[in-house]
Amino acid sequence: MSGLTVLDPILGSLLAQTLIGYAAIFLVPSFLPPMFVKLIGLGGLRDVLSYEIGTSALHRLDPRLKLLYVLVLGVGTVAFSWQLVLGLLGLTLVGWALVAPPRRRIRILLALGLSPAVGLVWSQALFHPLVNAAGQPLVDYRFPWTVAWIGTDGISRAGAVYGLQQAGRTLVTISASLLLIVSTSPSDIVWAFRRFHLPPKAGFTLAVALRFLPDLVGRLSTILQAVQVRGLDLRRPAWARLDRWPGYLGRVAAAVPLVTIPLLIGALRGTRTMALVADARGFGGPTSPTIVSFRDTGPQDRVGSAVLLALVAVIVLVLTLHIGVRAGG
Amino acid sequence: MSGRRPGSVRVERLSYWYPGAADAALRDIDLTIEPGEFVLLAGASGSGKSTLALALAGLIPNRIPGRLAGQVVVDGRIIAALEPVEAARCAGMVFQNPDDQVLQPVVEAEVAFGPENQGLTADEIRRRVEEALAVTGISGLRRSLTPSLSGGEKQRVAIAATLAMGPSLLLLDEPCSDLDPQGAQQVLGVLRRLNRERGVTVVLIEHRIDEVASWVDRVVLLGAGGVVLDRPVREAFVDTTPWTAEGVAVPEVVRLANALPEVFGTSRTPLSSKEAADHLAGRPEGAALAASATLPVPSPPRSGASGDGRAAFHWSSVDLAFGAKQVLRGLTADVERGSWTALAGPNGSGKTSMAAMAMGLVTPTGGSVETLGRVVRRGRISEQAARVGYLFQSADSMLFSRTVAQELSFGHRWSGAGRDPAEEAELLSVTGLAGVRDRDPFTLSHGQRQRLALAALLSRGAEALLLDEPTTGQDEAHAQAFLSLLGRVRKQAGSTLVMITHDMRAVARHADRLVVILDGTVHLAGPPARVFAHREQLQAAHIVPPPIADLHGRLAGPEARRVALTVDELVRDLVTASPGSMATGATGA
Repeated sequence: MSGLTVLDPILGSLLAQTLIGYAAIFLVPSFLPPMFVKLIGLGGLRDVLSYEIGTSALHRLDPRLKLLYVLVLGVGTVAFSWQLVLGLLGLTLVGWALVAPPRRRIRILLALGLSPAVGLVWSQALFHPLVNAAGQPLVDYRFPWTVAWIGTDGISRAGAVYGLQQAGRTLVTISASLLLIVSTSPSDIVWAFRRFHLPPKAGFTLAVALRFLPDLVGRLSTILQAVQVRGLDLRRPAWARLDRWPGYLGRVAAAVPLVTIPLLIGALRGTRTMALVADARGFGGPTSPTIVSFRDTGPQDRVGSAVLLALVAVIVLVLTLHIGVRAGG
Repeated sequence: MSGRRPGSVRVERLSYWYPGAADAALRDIDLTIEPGEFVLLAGASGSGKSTLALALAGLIPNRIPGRLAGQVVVDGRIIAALEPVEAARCAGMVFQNPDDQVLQPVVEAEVAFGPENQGLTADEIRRRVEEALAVTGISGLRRSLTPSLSGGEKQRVAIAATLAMGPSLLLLDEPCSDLDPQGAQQVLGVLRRLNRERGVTVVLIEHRIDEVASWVDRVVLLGAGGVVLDRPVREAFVDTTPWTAEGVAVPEVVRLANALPEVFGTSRTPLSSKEAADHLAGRPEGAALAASATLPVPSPPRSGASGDGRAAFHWSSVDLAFGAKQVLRGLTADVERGSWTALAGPNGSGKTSMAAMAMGLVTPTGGSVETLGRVVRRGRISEQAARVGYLFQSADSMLFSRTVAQELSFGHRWSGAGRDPAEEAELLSVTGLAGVRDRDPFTLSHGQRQRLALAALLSRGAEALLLDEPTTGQDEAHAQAFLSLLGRVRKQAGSTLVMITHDMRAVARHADRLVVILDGTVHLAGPPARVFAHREQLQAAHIVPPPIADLHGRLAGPEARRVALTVDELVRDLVTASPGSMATGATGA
């Protein structure tokens, strides 16, 4: 206890409170994006929206059912209390267990799912708009006037809890969407959208985007290597070598326009050929295109349909009987 | 009447100007192609081959604007008047770059894309997809993701996707440019089968005439947008004057036959090494050549061997894996300083990975790599670049400045070293870029951009150069000019050159060592004349020796120890082996 007595005046000083305030406000946005990039990397970026070839029941499930799952779970996250939302999150985890992605993919998926969650908790803890009866902001740790210009009064525990609840809702949507992407061949996703009457041009755009995203990231990786081969040092200095960081950041800033030009020119040159190929394949003609599927229906589709119907029934029940309906959070 | 049959083509007084161009890209072309013909469109870059193919497919003028005079009639219908989907039913087009022409993320969806747009029934689409995949030999890839395919596989997917639309005319613009030699032969075999068994008319654009001559029926040579020569393939090379005038190399066996008329006669020009070997088999000249290939040859002196510090590049027990895919397995190899070494092997064998590791672009999962006596450390690319240059396959990825002159000073700007205007002027002169010093690099031709990328690497004083497919997509004349430039640079600066390539003619002419990679390790290594003698072992690595080496190897069989690499060498061998019976004739084409 004596330690606390000694620390109290220090922690209570304006300087310490100012430092704590700035740290609370800037640490997360400073470290989250670099950590995100570090965990995912350029190679991971190429894999983020890519299909993981497999034969699990979820892989074999009708892609239309998977799309409906994403939609229904999305409705559930909006309508349910946050406790029930955790149940939905559990349901998506069952899906992940079925798919059993490799470890590298799990790391990328965790970074992709948890980064926005951490961001939500942080932003709601600092900028939650709750006020007390007197109209004062509800904060548990008040920032001094030296931090007030940023627009937050302090850290709110209620805000952090609210952020956590919202993060749970976001996680369900992200988890369900990634599950769809990881377990469904891109062509099957496009096919499902087309069966749901997506216009052919939109379907084609979606297919091309899914096809060329990995190529674009690969091309970016090559150009980043080429710019270094030409002599621009993009090696990150050690954290402790503060003297080297301004030069490094300057070179990174200089690399952005340098890399953009060949990337764009390469992409545009490719686009011209792609447009010719689309014409050569008869795309956009007067004939209404056929939508063909190469997958067979199986027992997984019947089980998947039953679970989906049960889920819809639960949502209807919850909404009708007002059990577990979303209140404030 | 040929104009009304499926697969027939009639080009009538066709001229075409690209938008804003004063000169015509096609000039007054008259051409008739009978159904079921297999036609090679040859010519130097800019001669109008691709433009003519686009016009035959109806994409000019419907999708590429410009001024068109005359007309193209395919299957009896004026192609320019048809809707794209209708035109595609008559003429299917396969483009050059496999990366840009596969539009769908999964193979079967790509092959089904065209038939879907034609509005065929689902059953018919499935049938056509099955058939197209089977014909092109890629049924096993049907569920594969297209971005994960090799260049050769993508090219076959593009051919399958075009075939599935059922065209009677198939147009292919350099479909083999990204393929290893055996892959190219397989694709040509597929085309020949379609042509013979199904009567599909095939029009093929290709620079590698050596590889395609024996597959085609007829050759059309274009020059400056017009038809220079149009003959059945057996007659096309009787007079090589028009070929020389257009800067297009004739097949090497044709040059050999022309150099030795007393051996080959004049009635039937051989078009492939097999035909030439069949002709020579049983003749005294054939026996003499076979004997010359089996003579013992002294081992060349070796320097710069493993670990003595004199090797420019040294890979020591290198393993490399990408996820579950093992690319290299305990590979050990070295490249002598000052040598010109070629790395060859099947698509995906790890050749580019070897070079990338030597540059520090990729880190081995086991073993180590030394460059110019230092162990390569991960990520120290710019540091490495002060001594080693890496020429990417796509030179466009390496150009970052607004003018040619700025491009040369790019490296100096970032390293803090001063510019030397005299050295810069010399580099521009050596690379033939002095006249475009102030031009935007992206307004230059492909060959100029590639030379600029090389000059930019040399501007930093690189002692060694790693070259990734430096001749891909270039015609013979441009490829030879670029390789000759590299030879001059090597001679002047004593540089070490490592060239990743599928172009075995370039290896035969320029490299003094060939390293063949197969299954992640060194399969064969040595002087090209020795390596090319191992025809069967090369076959396993998807390598077909260049025509003259292949002919010599065929004559000698498995006993061959060394083969001739050029026409001149083979004639010399023949003269040496049977003096008195042969006259030393001129061999120039």
